[in-house]
Amino acid sequence: MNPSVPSEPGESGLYNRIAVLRAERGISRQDLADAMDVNYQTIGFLERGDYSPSLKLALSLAEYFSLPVEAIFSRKPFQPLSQQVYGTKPSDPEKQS
Amino acid sequence: MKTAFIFLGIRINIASRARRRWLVALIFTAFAAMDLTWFWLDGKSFVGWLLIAALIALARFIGGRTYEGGLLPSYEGGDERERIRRYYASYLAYNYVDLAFLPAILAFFILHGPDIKYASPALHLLLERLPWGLLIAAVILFYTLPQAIVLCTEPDMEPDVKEAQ
Repeated sequence: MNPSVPSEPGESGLYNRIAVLRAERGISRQDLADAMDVNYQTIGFLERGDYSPSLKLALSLAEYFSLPVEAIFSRKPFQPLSQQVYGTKPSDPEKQS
Repeated sequence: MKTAFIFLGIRINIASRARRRWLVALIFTAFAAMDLTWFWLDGKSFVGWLLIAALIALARFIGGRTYEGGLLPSYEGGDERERIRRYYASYLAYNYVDLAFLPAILAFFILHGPDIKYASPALHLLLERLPWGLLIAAVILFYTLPQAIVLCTEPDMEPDVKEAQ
Protein backbone atom coordinates (compact mmCIF):
# COMPACT_ATOMS: atom_id res chain seq x y z
CA MET A 1 0.00 0.00 0.00
CA ASN A 2 1.23 3.48 -0.78
CA PRO A 3 1.46 5.25 2.61
CA SER A 4 1.11 8.68 1.06
CA VAL A 5 -2.38 7.96 -0.32
CA PRO A 6 -4.52 6.69 2.58
CA SER A 7 -7.03 4.06 1.52
CA GLU A 8 -9.16 4.98 4.52
CA PRO A 9 -10.16 8.55 5.27
CA GLY A 10 -9.35 8.34 8.99
CA GLU A 11 -11.41 10.04 11.68
CA SER A 12 -12.05 13.15 9.59
CA GLY A 13 -13.86 11.35 6.76
CA LEU A 14 -11.71 13.31 4.29
CA TYR A 15 -9.12 12.06 1.82
CA ASN A 16 -6.20 14.30 1.02
CA ARG A 17 -3.08 14.55 -1.11
CA ILE A 18 -0.94 16.55 1.29
CA ALA A 19 1.73 13.84 1.68
CA VAL A 20 2.01 13.40 -2.11
CA LEU A 21 2.24 17.14 -2.73
CA ARG A 22 4.76 17.54 0.05
CA ALA A 23 6.93 14.70 -1.29
CA GLU A 24 6.64 16.08 -4.81
CA ARG A 25 8.00 19.43 -3.68
CA GLY A 26 10.55 17.99 -1.25
CA ILE A 27 9.04 19.77 1.75
CA SER A 28 9.31 18.33 5.26
CA ARG A 29 6.37 18.23 7.65
CA GLN A 30 8.14 20.79 9.78
CA ASP A 31 8.56 23.17 6.81
CA LEU A 32 4.91 22.88 5.92
CA ALA A 33 3.88 23.27 9.56
CA ASP A 34 5.99 26.43 9.87
CA ALA A 35 4.46 27.84 6.70
CA MET A 36 0.94 27.10 7.96
CA ASP A 37 1.72 28.23 11.53
CA VAL A 38 0.57 24.93 13.01
CA ASN A 39 2.29 22.20 15.00
CA TYR A 40 4.06 19.61 12.81
CA GLN A 41 1.98 16.95 14.59
CA THR A 42 -1.09 18.53 13.02
CA ILE A 43 0.37 17.99 9.52
CA GLY A 44 0.77 14.30 10.40
CA PHE A 45 -2.84 14.07 11.62
CA LEU A 46 -3.99 15.85 8.45
CA GLU A 47 -2.04 13.50 6.18
CA ARG A 48 -3.44 10.43 7.92
CA GLY A 49 -6.93 11.85 7.58
CA ASP A 50 -7.36 11.98 11.35
CA TYR A 51 -8.06 15.68 11.45
CA SER A 52 -10.47 17.77 9.42
CA PRO A 53 -8.87 21.21 8.91
CA SER A 54 -10.60 24.52 9.36
CA LEU A 55 -11.63 26.32 6.18
CA LYS A 56 -8.84 28.82 6.84
CA LEU A 57 -6.18 26.09 7.05
CA ALA A 58 -7.56 24.26 4.00
CA LEU A 59 -7.46 27.49 1.96
CA SER A 60 -3.97 28.29 3.24
CA LEU A 61 -2.78 24.85 2.12
CA ALA A 62 -4.39 25.36 -1.28
CA GLU A 63 -2.69 28.72 -1.59
CA TYR A 64 0.64 27.25 -0.49
CA PHE A 65 0.52 24.44 -3.07
CA SER A 66 -1.05 26.78 -5.70
CA LEU A 67 -3.88 24.33 -6.25
CA PRO A 68 -7.65 24.45 -5.79
CA VAL A 69 -8.88 23.05 -2.46
CA GLU A 70 -10.65 20.16 -4.21
CA ALA A 71 -7.30 19.03 -5.65
CA ILE A 72 -6.01 18.56 -2.10
CA PHE A 73 -9.09 17.42 -0.15
CA SER A 74 -11.90 15.15 -1.22
CA ARG A 75 -14.71 13.20 0.35
CA LYS A 76 -14.02 10.40 -2.14
CA PRO A 77 -10.74 8.49 -2.54
CA PHE A 78 -8.31 10.09 -4.96
CA GLN A 79 -7.26 8.09 -8.02
CA PRO A 80 -3.56 7.20 -8.03
CA LEU A 81 -1.62 9.62 -10.23
CA SER A 82 -0.50 6.85 -12.63
CA GLN A 83 -4.09 5.91 -13.22
CA GLN A 84 -5.18 9.50 -13.64
CA VAL A 85 -2.39 10.46 -16.07
CA TYR A 86 -1.71 7.23 -17.97
CA GLY A 87 -4.94 5.36 -17.43
CA THR A 88 -3.12 2.35 -15.98
CA LYS A 89 -4.54 0.46 -13.04
CA PRO A 90 -2.38 -0.39 -10.05
CA SER A 91 -0.99 -3.92 -10.40
CA ASP A 92 -2.13 -6.65 -8.06
CA PRO A 93 0.74 -7.38 -5.66
CA GLU A 94 -0.37 -11.03 -5.32
CA LYS A 95 -0.02 -11.55 -9.09
CA GLN A 96 3.46 -10.08 -9.04
CA SER A 97 4.76 -12.43 -6.36
CA MET B 1 0.93 19.68 22.46
CA LYS B 2 4.64 19.23 23.02
CA THR B 3 6.14 15.77 23.32
CA ALA B 4 7.80 16.47 26.68
CA PHE B 5 7.61 18.72 29.71
CA ILE B 6 9.99 19.64 32.49
CA PHE B 7 8.94 18.90 36.09
CA LEU B 8 11.36 19.78 38.89
CA GLY B 9 14.21 19.82 36.40
CA ILE B 10 13.33 16.36 35.03
CA ARG B 11 12.42 16.07 31.35
CA ILE B 12 9.37 13.82 31.03
CA ASN B 13 8.63 12.41 27.59
CA ILE B 14 4.90 12.22 26.90
CA ALA B 15 4.87 11.26 23.22
CA SER B 16 3.35 7.85 23.94
CA ARG B 17 -0.31 7.77 24.96
CA ALA B 18 0.22 4.70 27.15
CA ARG B 19 2.94 6.59 29.02
CA ARG B 20 0.68 9.62 29.42
CA ARG B 21 -2.10 7.44 30.84
CA TRP B 22 0.31 5.98 33.39
CA LEU B 23 1.40 9.47 34.29
CA VAL B 24 -2.20 10.60 34.82
CA ALA B 25 -2.90 7.50 36.95
CA LEU B 26 0.24 8.20 38.99
CA ILE B 27 -0.67 11.86 39.57
CA PHE B 28 -4.24 11.07 40.60
CA THR B 29 -3.01 8.29 42.89
CA ALA B 30 -0.66 10.79 44.55
CA PHE B 31 -3.52 13.27 44.94
CA ALA B 32 -5.79 10.58 46.38
CA ALA B 33 -3.05 9.55 48.82
CA MET B 34 -2.61 13.17 49.95
CA ASP B 35 -6.38 13.59 50.33
CA LEU B 36 -6.63 10.39 52.38
CA THR B 37 -3.67 11.45 54.53
CA TRP B 38 -5.50 14.69 55.30
CA PHE B 39 -8.63 12.66 56.04
CA TRP B 40 -6.85 10.66 58.75
CA LEU B 41 -5.04 13.67 60.15
CA ASP B 42 -6.65 16.25 62.35
CA GLY B 43 -7.97 18.38 59.49
CA LYS B 44 -8.02 21.54 61.58
CA SER B 45 -4.41 21.24 62.68
CA PHE B 46 -1.63 23.33 61.14
CA VAL B 47 -0.34 20.25 59.25
CA GLY B 48 -3.86 19.59 57.99
CA TRP B 49 -4.22 23.12 56.62
CA LEU B 50 -0.72 22.95 55.16
CA LEU B 51 -1.57 19.69 53.39
CA ILE B 52 -4.76 21.16 51.91
CA ALA B 53 -2.92 24.27 50.72
CA ALA B 54 -0.13 22.14 49.18
CA LEU B 55 -2.62 19.80 47.55
CA ILE B 56 -4.66 22.59 45.95
CA ALA B 57 -1.56 24.57 44.90
CA LEU B 58 -0.05 21.43 43.33
CA ALA B 59 -3.29 20.63 41.50
CA ARG B 60 -3.49 24.22 40.24
CA PHE B 61 0.17 24.09 39.15
CA ILE B 62 -0.22 20.77 37.33
CA GLY B 63 -3.71 21.23 35.94
CA GLY B 64 -3.86 24.96 35.55
CA ARG B 65 -7.70 25.03 35.54
CA THR B 66 -7.93 26.73 32.15
CA TYR B 67 -7.63 24.65 29.01
CA GLU B 68 -4.15 25.94 28.22
CA GLY B 69 -2.62 26.54 31.65
CA GLY B 70 -0.77 24.15 33.88
CA LEU B 71 2.13 21.87 33.24
CA LEU B 72 0.97 20.56 29.88
CA PRO B 73 2.72 22.81 27.35
CA SER B 74 0.84 24.01 24.33
CA TYR B 75 2.20 24.88 20.93
CA GLU B 76 3.32 28.51 21.01
CA GLY B 77 1.84 29.39 17.63
CA GLY B 78 -1.70 28.51 18.72
CA ASP B 79 -2.21 25.36 16.68
CA GLU B 80 -5.87 25.05 15.64
CA ARG B 81 -6.16 21.29 16.19
CA GLU B 82 -4.70 21.55 19.66
CA ARG B 83 -7.00 24.45 20.55
CA ILE B 84 -10.04 22.47 19.44
CA ARG B 85 -8.95 19.42 21.45
CA ARG B 86 -8.34 21.51 24.57
CA TYR B 87 -11.67 23.30 24.24
CA TYR B 88 -13.39 19.93 23.86
CA ALA B 89 -11.56 18.51 26.89
CA SER B 90 -12.65 21.54 28.96
CA TYR B 91 -16.21 21.10 27.75
CA LEU B 92 -16.19 17.42 28.68
CA ALA B 93 -14.54 17.99 32.06
CA TYR B 94 -16.73 20.88 33.18
CA ASN B 95 -19.82 19.09 31.94
CA TYR B 96 -19.25 16.45 34.59
CA VAL B 97 -17.12 18.12 37.24
CA ASP B 98 -20.26 19.32 39.05
CA LEU B 99 -20.93 15.65 39.76
CA ALA B 100 -17.76 15.66 41.86
CA PHE B 101 -19.07 18.57 43.96
CA LEU B 102 -22.52 17.03 44.48
CA PRO B 103 -21.42 14.27 46.92
CA ALA B 104 -19.57 16.90 49.00
CA ILE B 105 -22.60 19.20 49.12
CA LEU B 106 -24.93 16.30 49.93
CA ALA B 107 -22.57 15.07 52.64
CA PHE B 108 -22.53 18.57 54.20
CA PHE B 109 -26.32 18.64 54.35
CA ILE B 110 -26.73 15.12 55.63
CA LEU B 111 -23.83 14.88 58.08
CA HIS B 112 -24.15 18.37 59.53
CA GLY B 113 -27.87 18.16 60.04
CA PRO B 114 -29.11 18.98 63.55
CA ASP B 115 -30.70 15.64 64.36
CA ILE B 116 -27.86 13.26 63.55
CA LYS B 117 -26.94 10.90 66.42
CA TYR B 118 -23.66 9.03 66.02
CA ALA B 119 -22.90 5.62 67.50
CA SER B 120 -19.40 6.59 68.54
CA PRO B 121 -17.35 9.80 68.78
CA ALA B 122 -14.72 8.30 66.44
CA LEU B 123 -17.33 7.67 63.75
CA HIS B 124 -18.66 11.17 64.31
CA LEU B 125 -15.18 12.61 63.76
CA LEU B 126 -14.64 10.64 60.56
CA LEU B 127 -18.04 11.49 59.13
CA GLU B 128 -17.52 15.13 60.03
CA ARG B 129 -14.42 15.17 57.83
CA LEU B 130 -16.01 13.29 54.94
CA PRO B 131 -17.60 16.34 53.22
CA TRP B 132 -14.28 18.22 53.40
CA GLY B 133 -12.38 15.27 51.95
CA LEU B 134 -14.91 15.06 49.10
CA LEU B 135 -14.73 18.81 48.58
CA ILE B 136 -10.93 18.72 48.27
CA ALA B 137 -11.21 15.86 45.74
CA ALA B 138 -13.74 17.92 43.74
CA VAL B 139 -11.43 20.97 43.71
CA ILE B 140 -8.53 18.79 42.50
CA LEU B 141 -10.69 17.42 39.69
CA PHE B 142 -11.80 20.96 38.83
CA TYR B 143 -8.17 21.98 38.37
CA THR B 144 -6.82 18.88 36.67
CA LEU B 145 -9.55 17.08 34.73
CA PRO B 146 -9.34 19.00 31.39
CA GLN B 147 -5.62 18.34 31.03
CA ALA B 148 -6.01 14.75 32.19
CA ILE B 149 -8.56 14.22 29.39
CA VAL B 150 -6.18 15.76 26.82
CA LEU B 151 -3.32 13.57 28.05
CA CYS B 152 -5.40 10.40 28.00
CA THR B 153 -7.10 10.94 24.63
CA GLU B 154 -4.40 12.47 22.43
CA PRO B 155 -3.04 9.70 20.15
CA ASP B 156 0.65 8.74 20.12
CA MET B 157 2.74 11.65 18.91
CA GLU B 158 5.65 11.63 16.50
CA PRO B 159 9.08 12.49 17.92
CA ASP B 160 9.66 16.20 18.20
CA VAL B 161 11.82 17.16 15.22
CA LYS B 162 13.18 20.36 16.75
CA GLU B 163 14.04 18.77 20.10
CA ALA B 164 15.68 15.77 18.42
CA GLN B 165 18.10 18.05 16.58
